[in-house]
Amino acid sequence: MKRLLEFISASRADRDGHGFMLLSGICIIAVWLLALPFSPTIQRVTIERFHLRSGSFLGWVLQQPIPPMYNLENRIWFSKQPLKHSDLVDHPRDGVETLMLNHFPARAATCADGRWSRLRYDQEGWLYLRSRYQESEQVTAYRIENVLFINKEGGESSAMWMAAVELER
Amino acid sequence: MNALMPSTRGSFPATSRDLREKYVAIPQDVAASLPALRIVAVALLISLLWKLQYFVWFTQIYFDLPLNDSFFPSWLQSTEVLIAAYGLTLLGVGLLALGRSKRLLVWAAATALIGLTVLCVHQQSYNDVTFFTCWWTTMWCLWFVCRLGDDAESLMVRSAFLIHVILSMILLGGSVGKWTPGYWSGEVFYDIYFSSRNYWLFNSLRAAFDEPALQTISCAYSRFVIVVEGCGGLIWLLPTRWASFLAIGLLCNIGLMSNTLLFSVLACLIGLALAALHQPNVVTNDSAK
Repeated sequence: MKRLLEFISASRADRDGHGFMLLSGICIIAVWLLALPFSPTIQRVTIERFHLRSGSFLGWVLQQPIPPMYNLENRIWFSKQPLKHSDLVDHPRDGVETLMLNHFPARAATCADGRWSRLRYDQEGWLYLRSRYQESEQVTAYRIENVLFINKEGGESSAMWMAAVELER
Repeated sequence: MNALMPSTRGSFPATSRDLREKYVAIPQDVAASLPALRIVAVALLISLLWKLQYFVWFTQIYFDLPLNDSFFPSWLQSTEVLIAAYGLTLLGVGLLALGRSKRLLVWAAATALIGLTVLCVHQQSYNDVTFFTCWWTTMWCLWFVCRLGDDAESLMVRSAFLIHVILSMILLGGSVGKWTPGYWSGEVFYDIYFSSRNYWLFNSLRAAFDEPALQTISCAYSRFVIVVEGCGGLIWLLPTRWASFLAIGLLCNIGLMSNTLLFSVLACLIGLALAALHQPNVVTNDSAK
């Protein structure tokens, strides 16, 4: 606390508004973090951030300065066939890959090593993300497929698309 | 050259010493504070270059396997933008390590921050926490270079406090995010590290213990991490030197106990903690006389 008071008095003496702003931003994040265990709303918003399902991209961007390292219990399943909710278990049947990830589980497809290991051959599959924090849990399903489209020159092209889909109960 | 020379019309010609002090020499308070910035800039470079070979390999994959989604704007799915942002960041940080004038340093820090902001929200790099820790480190750099010229002792007091608050916030985030049954039981770390991670520590443990014993060790390891990171969230309350030494010890421990690739995430934070130890050596006017 003594150092906080020293900071405030030194900042006042040197008219350091930037320093106050930086400290305020850090304090807001610290309050958000400390509220996480007690607020289902913050837990939901954090899980949506990790699943790339935030209500708006700007809302997701604003959360990026919040530390995400090794946060939440994140498990993914990847399969060439669609799965039901009841298939998402710790030891699934053959042909279904599952593992835990330390943060941002959607990186199983968005990040290069995930793309390389899961999508380099047929570029299709279903990716399921489950994140838990205390009582909060959310599952997100993504369909990844190779889509044919007409390019600007009028010819046919294909591209890999990832889109959220409903999870079958 | 002429642009650097002051006009001598209507005044006596300046001596070479006057010229050096006006155009070349760095003001004393700036010179006394700069070593802290240099330490952080070098640490940032280490962070950004630690996984360079992975970055190069990843960009090749992104070119070969582009993935579209509706969440990210299309320009934030472009690999060219990713490379440009990374290059811009390296340029900015390089200038931070070498620059001398305050104006150049402010531009350098702002450039690096823009590059890192893009990297933190880009589809192909948002998940890499290296860019997250570098972003916070560069935020500190931008604040610091904007304040260059303030009284060096006062600046270093404020700088050290801000550094320890940033480190505390990051460590607190690591701890709070793990307050879940899966981490408390050790299940998550068992799955991520103990069951198959190829790293000397986990390889040795797998060779020495059976699965139930490994699960018990994973539980102890996980609880140790949660408690230590939680305590790390309080380092801003400690005296400056204690806070920095504790932070450096904690950060090195996280890297060595998990995997050395994590030093890309940690190096810039270690640099920050080192910078907080910098004591300015300012010769006051009185003592100079």
